[in-house]
Amino acid sequence: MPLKSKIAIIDLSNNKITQEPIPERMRRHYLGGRGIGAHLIYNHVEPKTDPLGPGNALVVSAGFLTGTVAPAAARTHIGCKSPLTNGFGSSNVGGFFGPELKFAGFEHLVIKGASEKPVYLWVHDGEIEIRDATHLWGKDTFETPQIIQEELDDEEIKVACIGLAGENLVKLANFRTGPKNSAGRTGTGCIAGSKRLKAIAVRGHQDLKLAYPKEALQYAKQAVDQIMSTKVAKAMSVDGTSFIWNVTNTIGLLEFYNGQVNKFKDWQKLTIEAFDEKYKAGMAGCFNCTVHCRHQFRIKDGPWAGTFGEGPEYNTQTALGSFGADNWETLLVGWHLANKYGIDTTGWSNDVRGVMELYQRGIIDKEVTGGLDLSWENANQIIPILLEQTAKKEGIGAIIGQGSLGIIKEFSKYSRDVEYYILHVKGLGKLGNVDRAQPSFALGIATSTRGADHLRSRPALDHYHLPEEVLRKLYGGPVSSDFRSYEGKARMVRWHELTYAVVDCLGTCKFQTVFFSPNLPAYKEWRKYLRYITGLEFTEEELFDIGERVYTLERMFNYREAGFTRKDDRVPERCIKEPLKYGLPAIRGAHIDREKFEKLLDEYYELHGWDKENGLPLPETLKRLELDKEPSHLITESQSA
Amino acid sequence: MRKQERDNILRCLNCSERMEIPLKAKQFTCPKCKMEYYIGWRDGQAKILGSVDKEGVEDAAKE
Repeated sequence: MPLKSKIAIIDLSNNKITQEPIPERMRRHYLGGRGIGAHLIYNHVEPKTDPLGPGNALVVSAGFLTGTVAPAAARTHIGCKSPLTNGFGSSNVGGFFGPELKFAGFEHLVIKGASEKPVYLWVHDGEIEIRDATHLWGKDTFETPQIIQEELDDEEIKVACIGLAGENLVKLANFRTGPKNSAGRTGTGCIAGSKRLKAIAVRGHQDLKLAYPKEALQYAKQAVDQIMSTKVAKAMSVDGTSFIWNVTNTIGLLEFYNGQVNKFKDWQKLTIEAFDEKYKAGMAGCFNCTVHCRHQFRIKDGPWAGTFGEGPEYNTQTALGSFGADNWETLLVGWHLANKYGIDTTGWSNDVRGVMELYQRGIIDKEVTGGLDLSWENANQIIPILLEQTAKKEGIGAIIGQGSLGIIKEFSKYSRDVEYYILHVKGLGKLGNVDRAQPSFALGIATSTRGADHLRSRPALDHYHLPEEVLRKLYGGPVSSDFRSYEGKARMVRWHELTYAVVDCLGTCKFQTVFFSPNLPAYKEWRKYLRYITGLEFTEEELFDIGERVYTLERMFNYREAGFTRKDDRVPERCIKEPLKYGLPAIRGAHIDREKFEKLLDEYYELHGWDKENGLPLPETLKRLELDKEPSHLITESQSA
Repeated sequence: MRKQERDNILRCLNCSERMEIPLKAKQFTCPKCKMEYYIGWRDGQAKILGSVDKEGVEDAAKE
């Protein structure tokens, strides 16, 4: 049963592998997935270690419900100390890898140390082997799984792997688990590369026995009916997450040309309807998902004819569509290459947009770019070139691959304005969403425990014109239903942060939760999943507390490793200084008001039980969450801040 | 019938007014703020494709 899944500690420096059960206290405090993952990262990463050194730990965590009958229980969390931020590295990925890890008997893999030669892990039915991967080094993320499946003679083996970017210690490198699935953010692939860990192959035949099989199956069916009856599930089944793009672009909530423009002039060319006409090859789903939001595409003609892959999704459209490229093929080729090399499209696109604006403003020129014309009009041509250069650490790609902070460090010698144009929070580049018209989004990216990020809290329910009494009931206090308002948005952001932390602990897909609609599963449903599947009883309050414990521990990791405090909970200055010029009349002129934002931060810290001066947990908060019992120095560090 | 009605209802992205879209309509104007939208259909469900706000898009094109 799910409760019997284990933690494996794998030290690549000395080839030592140990297995441990998951203690009940750890389970009740952190559930699983990202929660237990955060606990393991906190305790296994050597304090103040070099992210690329052997003291870092890469922690692969399936969710508590991953692999079970709970709808879309497909998620895996991959974490470490991030090479981009020096803080909490964290990325969540779907597909089939996590369920297979559970079937193999494991929920968490803690990978420490570093191997002298390339290796991969072979995890199967309760056993783990460290195998030579010299022959895989240099292979891309499409070839690697195939080679492993062939040599182990089992095409059902699921493989997570890095590409050329990870091998070359590109900080924007990701860890990929399938055709569309990437643990993209915070440089997890770079950490795998630093450990010479090319891949993790998993295969299992162990049964995840359910505590109450009949009730679990009945309830799973009921939950699927609930999910599929919503408008949003229907929209995702046809248009994928790209159904959002038309709406956000119409309002003027997408950033183009590095946030200089917030509506795309040739929008008809980048809609999902335009994609469908020429490239759509089908839809696919992750483990135990009935929505199937994963597009499949095929390029039929031209130099890239025959290219097949999964995607795009909203993220791809928004990230790779932000340079002014005016055709889907550029986006799909960019997506294909980023996947092949193992590069995070969100972070990479953000950083390239910034570099292109430096070029636009004459801060860097062709001498710096190695002769490349980085003007926006040239976007269709340069995206593939820059992706290859990034993966191979060649030319200007070697600088782009070091992420926002690396670019700022390298180019600040040319102008003091460089930091203004490289948009990031805590060193992590942001998705091309317009945050400056939405105080809740702005607060969310400013305070996210992994740096600028739209998935840590993405508080979008104030876009749905819901009655304010619905929001009040959900959030436990007044929240304005106007997305432009600051009222109640601290409460809203905190609630989503903690709730999504719970989702990531469970291992279900965020898109099938309150993320998109108040009619999708949340605490009431999760309690039932847990009871019927695992036999464990949790109250809604206990689950919410787990979310708070996980978020607070991540916050403390950030303070311990990177010294992040209130001063780092910022939005890019452009969000404050440059009002929106385009879009619907409702948002033109919008920008983040510095004074109101500071007040929002005060409210946010108060709700969290963090001090307003530093944004660090108060001793009584740590005690309430029982984080004072962590085998660490949480309270001491907090009090001395 | 009720479900079909629901699928035809959209909210104006500018002023939040409820908009009842005639079946198969390709454009629709918000009765309150007069914002004009291009409409698409997804398995009988109305969706906004874009806006006909020449001003906003044309301005952006000048950048």
